[in-house]
Amino acid sequence: MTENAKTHVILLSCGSFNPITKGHIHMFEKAREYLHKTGRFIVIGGIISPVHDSYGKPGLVPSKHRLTMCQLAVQSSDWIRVDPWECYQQTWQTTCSVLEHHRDLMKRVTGCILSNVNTPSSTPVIGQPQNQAPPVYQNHNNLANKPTAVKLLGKVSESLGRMCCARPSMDRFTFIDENANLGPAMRYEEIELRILLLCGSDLLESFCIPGLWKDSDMEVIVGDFGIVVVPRDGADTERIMNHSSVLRKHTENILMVKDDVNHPMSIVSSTKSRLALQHGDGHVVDYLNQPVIDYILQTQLYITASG
Amino acid sequence: MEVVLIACGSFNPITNMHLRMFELARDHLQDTEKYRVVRGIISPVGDGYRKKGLIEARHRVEMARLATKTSDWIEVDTWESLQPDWVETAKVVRHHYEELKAAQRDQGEDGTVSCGKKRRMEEEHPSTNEAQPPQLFLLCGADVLESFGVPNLWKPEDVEELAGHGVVCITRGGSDPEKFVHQSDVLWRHRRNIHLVREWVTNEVSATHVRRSLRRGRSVRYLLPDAVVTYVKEERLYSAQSEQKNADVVLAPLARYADAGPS
Repeated sequence: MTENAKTHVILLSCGSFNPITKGHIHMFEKAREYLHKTGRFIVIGGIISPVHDSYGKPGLVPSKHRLTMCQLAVQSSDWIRVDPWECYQQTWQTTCSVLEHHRDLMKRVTGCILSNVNTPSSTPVIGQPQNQAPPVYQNHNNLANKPTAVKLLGKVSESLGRMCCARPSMDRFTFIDENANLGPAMRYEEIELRILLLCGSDLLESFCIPGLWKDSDMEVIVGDFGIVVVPRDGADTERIMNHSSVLRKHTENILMVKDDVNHPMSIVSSTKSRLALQHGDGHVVDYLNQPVIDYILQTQLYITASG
Repeated sequence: MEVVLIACGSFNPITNMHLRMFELARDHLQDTEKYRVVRGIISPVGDGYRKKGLIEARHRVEMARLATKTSDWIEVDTWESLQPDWVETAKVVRHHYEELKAAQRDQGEDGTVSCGKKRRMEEEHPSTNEAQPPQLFLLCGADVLESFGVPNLWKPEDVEELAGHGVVCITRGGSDPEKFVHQSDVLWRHRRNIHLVREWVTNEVSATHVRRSLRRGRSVRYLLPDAVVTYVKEERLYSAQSEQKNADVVLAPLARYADAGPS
C-alpha cells in the first residue's frame, strides 16, 4: 500500500494512571508494533490522558502528581506525550468527550504539525526525520477490506480476516481536499489521520456491564473512532466481543493486539503497584519505572493505605 | 521598531491569498505605530518535504519571484528551497535571524557613513536603534499559534524561541486565537509578541483548489497574479501526473514513524 494511503494514527489512552506503570508503556509499544505489522497504519503519536480528580475513585492521588509521574515515565519516549487537558477541566470528562476534544484539536493543528513548524520536543506527536530521504516503499496490493469479509471467512481464518478488516471504513470521505474535516477523521491533503482509543481488555470488558456506559457514547467510541485493545491477564477477548451488541456491530473498528499471553507485563497493574508500595515490596521495580519510584518515595505518595 | 516578516510554506503555487497576507500584516503592524515593516520574505519549502503534488522548487521559486516583481518590499528567499533535506520552520527562522544580525553588524561597521550623516539619520528616524537588528516575525495562521499552546507538543525552548521572535497570525472567522493565548502560559508570557490580524474579507483561495482547476483546464485568472498564470501555462505545470508526485513516499516529518513500520 502506498505510504500516503496508510492511515496515520494517534493512540489515545484514558485512565487513572494511579500510578502509571510499565504495563501502560508496554501497552503503547505493543499496539504500535501491531498496527505497523498490519501494513495499514503508521502510528505517529501516543497521548496519555489522566482522569480528572473528581472521578472519585478511592485512593486517586491529586492530578498534579499523576501528571508528573506520567511525564517521568515517558521522558525518554520519542512518540508518547502526556496531555493534561482532562485534569484542567472543571470536572470529570467522559471518554467520548476526551476523544472528541483531541480530534477537534488535531483538526485545527494538523496542517502546521505536518509542516513541522518547530523542532519537535522529546515527547512529540510528530517527530523530525533523523536520516536521509527514505527509500520509496513498495506498492502493496490493496487488500479487500469490506467488513462483510469477516463473516464470509471461516473460523480458521477469522483472525486473519480481522486483520484484513482492521481498517476503519473509508466511505466517510466523499472528496479529496485540503484539510477536509469530515466526521471522525481528519485529513491533511492526502493524509488521513485518526485518533484511536487505546485500552486494555479490562476496559473492553466494562462495555458489557449494563448501565456503565451510555449507548450513544459507546457508538461514538467504537463506531466513529475505533479502539485498539491490548489483552491482559489472560482475558477472553472473544467472549467479551460476543457479549456486547455494540462491539459485535463494529468489529471492523476494533483492533485486537496479538500479544504473548505469558508476557510479564500482562499482569502488571496500578493496584498491584500501590499495594507493593504500601508493603515495601521490592517487586515494585518490576511494575514501575525508576524515576516514577523515586518521585513516589520523595513525595510519600501511596505509602499509607487509602481507599 | 523595524520588522521583517517571513512566511514559510509550499507555495504550490503562490496565490493572491499569500500576497494579501503580507499586506494585511503590514497594515496591522504599522497601525500600531510601534512597528515599521521594512521587508517581507517568502521562503518556499524544499523538495525534500515530499508532499504529494509538490512540484520542483525551481518552479515554485520562479512563480513567487514573478508574483513579487511589482512589490517594493516583499521578496523571495531560496535558502530553504536549496537545502537537500527538509528543514523545519524554526530552523529557517533561526537562519534568517542570524542573517539579519550579520547584516546589521556589517552596516554598523560601514566606515563610509560619516559621523555627521549618522547623527542626521538618527534625528530623522529616532526609533531606529542601530544596535538592534530588525525583529523577525513569523507570518502564519491560527493553527500554528494554537499548536504552540498544546502541552508537550513541542520542545518548550523552541516555543520560547519562536514566540520570542514574534508571530503575526492571520485569522479568519471560526477560530479564536485570543482564547488560546489566554489559556496557554507560554503564549500569555509572549502575548506582546503575538499579533492577531483579523481578515474581515475572507479570501478562500487555496493552492489545492488552484491546482485542481488547472488539472481540469479551467481558468485561474485573478486567483494568481497574471505573470504566474502565464508561467504556469508556458511551463505546463500542474497536471494529473504532477499531482501524483511523492504519492509513494512518506511526508518528511513522518518518515521516522514509517521507519518503525513493517519490514
